[in-house]
Amino acid sequence: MKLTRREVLAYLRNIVATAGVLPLLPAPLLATPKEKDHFFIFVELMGGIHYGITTDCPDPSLLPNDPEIFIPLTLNDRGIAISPSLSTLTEEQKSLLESELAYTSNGYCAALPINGNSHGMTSAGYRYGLGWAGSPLKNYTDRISVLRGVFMQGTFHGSANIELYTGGVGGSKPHIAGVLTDLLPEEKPLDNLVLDSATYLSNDKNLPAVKLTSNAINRVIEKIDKATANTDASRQILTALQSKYSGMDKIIGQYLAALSSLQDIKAKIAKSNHAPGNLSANLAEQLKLCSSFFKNGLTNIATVAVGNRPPFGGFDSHSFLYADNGEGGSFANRIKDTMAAIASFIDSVESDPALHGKVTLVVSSDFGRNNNFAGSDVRFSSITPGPTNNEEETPTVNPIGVLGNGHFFPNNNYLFYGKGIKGGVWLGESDAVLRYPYCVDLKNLSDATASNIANFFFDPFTKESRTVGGYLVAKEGFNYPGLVYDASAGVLDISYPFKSSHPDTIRALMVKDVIRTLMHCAGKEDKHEEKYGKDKSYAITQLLK
Amino acid sequence: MRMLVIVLLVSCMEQDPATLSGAHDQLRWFKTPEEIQETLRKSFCLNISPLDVQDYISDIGPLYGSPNINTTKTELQQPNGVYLLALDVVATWISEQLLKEQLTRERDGNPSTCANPNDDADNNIYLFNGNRYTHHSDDDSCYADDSKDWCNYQDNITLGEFHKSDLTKKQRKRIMHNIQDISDFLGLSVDNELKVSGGRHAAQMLLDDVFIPNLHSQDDDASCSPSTSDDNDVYGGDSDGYNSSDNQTLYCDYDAWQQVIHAMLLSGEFFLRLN
Repeated sequence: MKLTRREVLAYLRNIVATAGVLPLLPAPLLATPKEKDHFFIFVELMGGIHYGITTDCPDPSLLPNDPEIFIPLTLNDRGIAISPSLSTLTEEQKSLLESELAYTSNGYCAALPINGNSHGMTSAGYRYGLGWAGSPLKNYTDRISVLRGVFMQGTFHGSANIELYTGGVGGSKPHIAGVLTDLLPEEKPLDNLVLDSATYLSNDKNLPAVKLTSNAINRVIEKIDKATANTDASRQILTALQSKYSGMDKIIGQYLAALSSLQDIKAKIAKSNHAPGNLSANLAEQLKLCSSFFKNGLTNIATVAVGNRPPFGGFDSHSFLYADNGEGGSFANRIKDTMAAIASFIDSVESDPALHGKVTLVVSSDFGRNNNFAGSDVRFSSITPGPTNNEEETPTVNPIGVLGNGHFFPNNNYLFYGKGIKGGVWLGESDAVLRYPYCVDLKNLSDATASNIANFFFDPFTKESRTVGGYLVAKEGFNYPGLVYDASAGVLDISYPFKSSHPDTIRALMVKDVIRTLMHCAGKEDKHEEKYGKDKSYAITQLLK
Repeated sequence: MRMLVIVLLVSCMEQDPATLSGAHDQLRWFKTPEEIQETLRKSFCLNISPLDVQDYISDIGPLYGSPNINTTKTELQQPNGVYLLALDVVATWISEQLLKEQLTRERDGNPSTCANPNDDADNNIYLFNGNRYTHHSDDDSCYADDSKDWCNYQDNITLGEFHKSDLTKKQRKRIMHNIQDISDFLGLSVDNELKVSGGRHAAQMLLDDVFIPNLHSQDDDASCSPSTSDDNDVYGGDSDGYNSSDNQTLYCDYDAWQQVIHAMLLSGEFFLRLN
């Protein structure tokens, strides 16, 4: 029995009008998911993820055996560097780290953990690389797909977050969750659920979001067993007042209808049996909540976020990437926990007949981070742990705790799983040390392997080479393939193979391609131009079944 | 006429909607969370903590009308299920805060310096005493007269007086009058005239359908007591004003009163901009 939300409300109004009371909901209103249901969860990991230790980990055999270019690290089970620790660095490395440029930019040399990684080929024939923090996904490489090397137009937190699921900057494009909700054949009460601080910016009143905070959900869950009898009492009072407010019939009617749907929503939330907790700090709990809401007919589409609300603190890991951040683990450990939550969610979906084959999960972050060693905003004062002489200029930070990375907007990653996703497709490779993505031949994606990926990145907007300054600063004499040291600028230029004559179809992957791919995944490709205009995007069809 | 005065009085205490930031372009069918907050502070003399503001204005406020910080306008187009979901939570919170203040005043007199327009320096009028226009007389002959169905005299009800039992007609009339008092205090229209479907007084409906089903007894809850137990923490003492399930029923009639207030608030008259 198929009932739309309008039919539900009409049904309830009719019952109320004829019986005077609101009855228990009939079984069809608490229906379990149907075969054709398609649920979406968009996850926003706020702060910028270090993909080099997650889903875009370079093969160690590709890393140069040159301590001036690459320093291997070993992490313990909490993500803290144990060997070689800073105290075991060579004098030359210490010298580099203590130099001015080490803390004003992003460091001289790459550093990556070499333990806990896994590399190989998926059954679909794509090369994958999981780093220490991505290790929980080791057994899922054939079930998930990953787009690496996605170029972000947004170059800072905020603008990049907006772009993440819109493909546009400054809110110029609609959020994919809102678009898909608008195209749903059947509405649900909490459709387009946006949890906590997830970025949802839309000026389109036709694409409304239900913005629920964890706090609000907790309040509802805490009080769910209370006030259940009051809905009918409240309805009777307002009905009695209709004659007093005779000019307000429309609003009162809408309020009464909403009051009726409240009982439905509360019943479904109660049925979801989700214990209150600090969801904002816990992706696993948010994903469980989404599952409950999907199964109980509350929503089809949800956007969730972890990152910028206490006590979690986010992924903004300019420092403490491989050191204890005061929570008993490092930022790397936090990322690993998040990947474990994703793996656990996949297991839960696949073991639940009501959800298996019905959920599409997409995960991403503001942008990536490079592999370079020094923190970009925390100063080194000394290799030796301890307070410094000048606290204003050099905070009393244990120097071991300043292994972080700066923002790296040229290389974001997207993880896909579930309905409509082929699985095992890992596209978009990047340079092992520099993290710059290679270009992709968008017209020939069916053969997308490394051989089909162009040599190097170029700016997809200017189609010209750009200075790399700010991302990797090398000392004179630095030698790395594709890079030319600019002695006058003290920076490196990437040697771009493509110039302005290069075709549009060979460029870095972009968010607009992700959006178009998701429209395909939802079976709404025919609506893409209507919603997003002619944006020269490409659907990455080999990601899709 | 009396109700009109009260409604106007409460409304006057609220901030002029035109001065509120955001939401200017919305159809103003709802009172914004900020306006409601002002009413709670100024008309109800509730001490709203920063954490309360975070919980009920900043966090869930957008669900019932706070402008979104990104768009500087609310996305609320019309009453919907989510709006009611938020009001349900807020109404629960407000009802708890009102009872907390009621208890404080019953114990300590009027500790607040809040200029409550309903307050009477001689009478310490608050939630259970309606408003200054109520006929305050200790004459309970009407309540004792079983031939009278409704009395409009001072009912002298305090928190903790009732527990689960067969209520006498006198008790029923006093409770119904107190429901009217509460309605008066909130600026709502449940009085001795308003009738619901079936011909019952709204106050009677609230008594029979809400109050009585939510009364507790010591048989079903050992911690429930109308006694003089040391109940300083009857309302929990949680920093956010929430009661724990353990002590909510210390007074056997706490839940009953809380549910009645909640039901009246959720009827919409408090939250909607009706005229």
